[in-house]
Amino acid sequence: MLNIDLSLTLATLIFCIGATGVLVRRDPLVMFICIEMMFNAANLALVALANHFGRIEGQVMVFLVIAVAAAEVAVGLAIIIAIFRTEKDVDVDTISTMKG
Amino acid sequence: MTTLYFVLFLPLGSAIFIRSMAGRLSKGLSGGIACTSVLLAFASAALSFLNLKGMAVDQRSLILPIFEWARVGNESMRFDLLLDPLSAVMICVVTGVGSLIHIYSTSYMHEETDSEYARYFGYLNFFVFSMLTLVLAANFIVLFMGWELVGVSSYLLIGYYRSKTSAADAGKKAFIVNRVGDFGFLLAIFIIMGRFNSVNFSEVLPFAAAKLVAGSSLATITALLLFMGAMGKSAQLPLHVWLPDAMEGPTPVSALIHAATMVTAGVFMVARCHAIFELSPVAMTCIAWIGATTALFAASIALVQNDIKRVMAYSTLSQLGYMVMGVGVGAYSAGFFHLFTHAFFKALLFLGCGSVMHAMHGELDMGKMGGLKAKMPITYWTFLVGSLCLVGVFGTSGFFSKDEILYQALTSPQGSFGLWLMGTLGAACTAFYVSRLFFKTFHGEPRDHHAYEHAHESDSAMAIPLIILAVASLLISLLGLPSFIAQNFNGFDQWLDPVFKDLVRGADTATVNPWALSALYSAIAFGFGGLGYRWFARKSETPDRIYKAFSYIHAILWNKYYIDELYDFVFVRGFLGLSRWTYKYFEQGVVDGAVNSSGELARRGSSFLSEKIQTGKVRYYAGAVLFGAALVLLLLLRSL
Amino acid sequence: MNEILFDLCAALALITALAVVFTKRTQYAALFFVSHLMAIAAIYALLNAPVLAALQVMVYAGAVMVVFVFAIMILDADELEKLMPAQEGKTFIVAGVLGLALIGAFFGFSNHFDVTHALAPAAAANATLLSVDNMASLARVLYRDYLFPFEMTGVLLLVAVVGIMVMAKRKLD
Repeated sequence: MLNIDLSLTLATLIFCIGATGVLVRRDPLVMFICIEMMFNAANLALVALANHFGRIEGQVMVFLVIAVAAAEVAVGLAIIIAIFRTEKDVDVDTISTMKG
Repeated sequence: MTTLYFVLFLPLGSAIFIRSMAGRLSKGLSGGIACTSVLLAFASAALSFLNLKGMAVDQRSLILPIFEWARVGNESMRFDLLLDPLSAVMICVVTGVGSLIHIYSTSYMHEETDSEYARYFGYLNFFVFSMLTLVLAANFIVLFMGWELVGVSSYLLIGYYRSKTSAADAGKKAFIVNRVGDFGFLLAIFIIMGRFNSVNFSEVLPFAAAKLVAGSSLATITALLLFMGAMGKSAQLPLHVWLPDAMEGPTPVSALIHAATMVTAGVFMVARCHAIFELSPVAMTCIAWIGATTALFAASIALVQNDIKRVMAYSTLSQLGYMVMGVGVGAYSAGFFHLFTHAFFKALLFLGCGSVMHAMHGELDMGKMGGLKAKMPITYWTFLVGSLCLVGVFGTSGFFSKDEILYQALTSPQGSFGLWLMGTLGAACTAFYVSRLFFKTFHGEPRDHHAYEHAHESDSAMAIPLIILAVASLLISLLGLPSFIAQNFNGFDQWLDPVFKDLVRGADTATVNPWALSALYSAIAFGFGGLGYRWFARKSETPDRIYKAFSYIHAILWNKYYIDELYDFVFVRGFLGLSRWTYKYFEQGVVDGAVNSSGELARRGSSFLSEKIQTGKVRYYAGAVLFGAALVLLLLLRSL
Repeated sequence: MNEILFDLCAALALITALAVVFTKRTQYAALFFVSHLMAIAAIYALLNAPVLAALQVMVYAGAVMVVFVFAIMILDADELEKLMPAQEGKTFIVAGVLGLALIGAFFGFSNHFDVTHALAPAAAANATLLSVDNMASLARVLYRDYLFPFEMTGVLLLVAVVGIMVMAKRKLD
């Protein structure tokens, strides 16, 4: 039986690394990848707990999360491409039209 | 008793009707409705009077409840009417003289447009209603309501010629000066409410001596405050300034409101509340002296005025002073009798002036008139009757009333020689200025030939009221013959006896032969009258020489003792200055400053926050989200 | 055996995650992420979720990352290179601190709450439920108990596709 603590710790670490990546990187695509990483960490936690408690619902949830994450990635990338088609600049910091 | 309803509400109904038709009525219709309503009111008033006469003497005090106005706990404030000898006389005078003036106005105001004509009659009817409310009041609140309503009517009617700035200003002046008096009146009502726990006359006046200690300072204060209201309404000395300016209104208005009825409201109120005034000899002395001073003061100003309506206005002021002096020395019946007679002959004189103005196309200056006797006989003879009454020639009603007042001023316990002397000097001035007015206007050579050519007698609608008033002025003298002429013949006095029966009259302090006094007055009247004839009926250089010699005094008199200028300087400028100062430093500085500052604060505060938080940078937002998530997580984990 | 494999995969996942954050070039970040996903998939398999492992590889690593690579291709790579996190020292520190704080919070409080031991440990019988015929049991639950969310997810995907098509259209002004 694999140690549940280890899995959860791993999930937490990956989540934090992903969070750091979102804050630090200025490249929108890499930011997005880091967001996906955070999703991944959550999935890992879910699977680990499903395994620990012997309930299959956790895996069901992961299933749905993967589907939703896929949709979200597609839409997000479409937005990024749309923005950068008009702005021609790829730096997140300079895109501040929502200022104020 | 139900006839009282007609008396009061017919004029009101017609006023509302005429005004609500907003000028869609023709002149004939609006004038007709107005006059009819007041005539019917007069008929009802006469009926009420006769009803009252038919009752036993000690029962002549009827209260007609109309409706309950307000209720505070167990106390109820009612709108009730009181019919007693005093109010019965007043309603007959108001509706009688009022209806004559209404008829006169139908012709006088003929040049106005339909809507303006209707407006005039609406206001005039409303005034009649207001005055009737005042005199028929059964408690102080209704009295005050009528008081204020006549003030409003006066304002509306003085300022009738809306396009004239001077008329509008005069209306405002009348109302504001009245307000000063009303302030005192209200305070007095509050004191009475507090002391007597009621405002009804039936509950206050008979018990005045019980609740208010005679001679106490509270009684004096109450009496003086009540008199303050009378000062405003009856234009006594400090608050008299509005009456001469009120001549800006149409002449019938001056006749009705500022001679016969509204200005007498003050005297009426003092007569009604005599029980309270009797409790304070100090107040009564003040009242008497103020009345006498006003009488002499106004008469002196009238000596040099050239505007015929102004002369009449100052004459009214002077006569009001006599009335006030009369009630001030305790001669309530005499003062009230003078009010009664004055209503008739003063209205007659004003209407006569109106007739002259009509003939001279609105000219008011005596200096441009002359020799109108030949052109306007009816006006001439009626004016003569009125003048004789005003001067107080023996046999006319004015003589009897004025004579009685002066006699009481000399002999009653509260009277004094000084009062009598001022009154007599005033009578001398009266004789002079009346004869000056009369002879300059109707006798001698016409000074403005062009106007003289066009002068003509007035039509019957104006002439007939003049005649009726002249006849009445002569006949009513029979009602009030003083005691030394015919014992127990004073019908007026007897009529009012139930009202004043509680007066305790002290013994006479001076014994004078009344016939001697009458002879003195007659001598004064003929003497100064004759002087006027010599100087003004025929061309004479003497008046001008005298004016030049005493030019300093002349200037003072002509400028009305500069009182208007004084008031303007002290009150008007002072108040305006204070307003400006307050506006600058308080309104703009404090209030606007506070509002603007709070706005600025909100703006700067929110922009500060917004600029720092809503930077528009994505990563910043992401960081904020994470930070918040960490915080929530922390809190959740803590609680476990 | 399982433990060693688990540790290896875990280490791989961590290293590749760090690599994603710190690498200079975007393409490398994408590739590192793919390997990260593979490592996670392996862990799923070890955790008695073979179906999910397969799904992870097929959908996440297979479809999603492919879309990512397309996006990287569309956007100018040269431009992207300029965005080095090293210049943003300040943010780095803040982010690092936050990250550590999160981890610390978890570890710090994990002593205080015992989610893992709160409920009874998994029975052996349930383990077999998971590993043997994982697909069947998953399908059973998905299509019976959680049918509505499942269908809704399908609708969500449809909406996403429509939205993307609308957005991708070149604006015709």
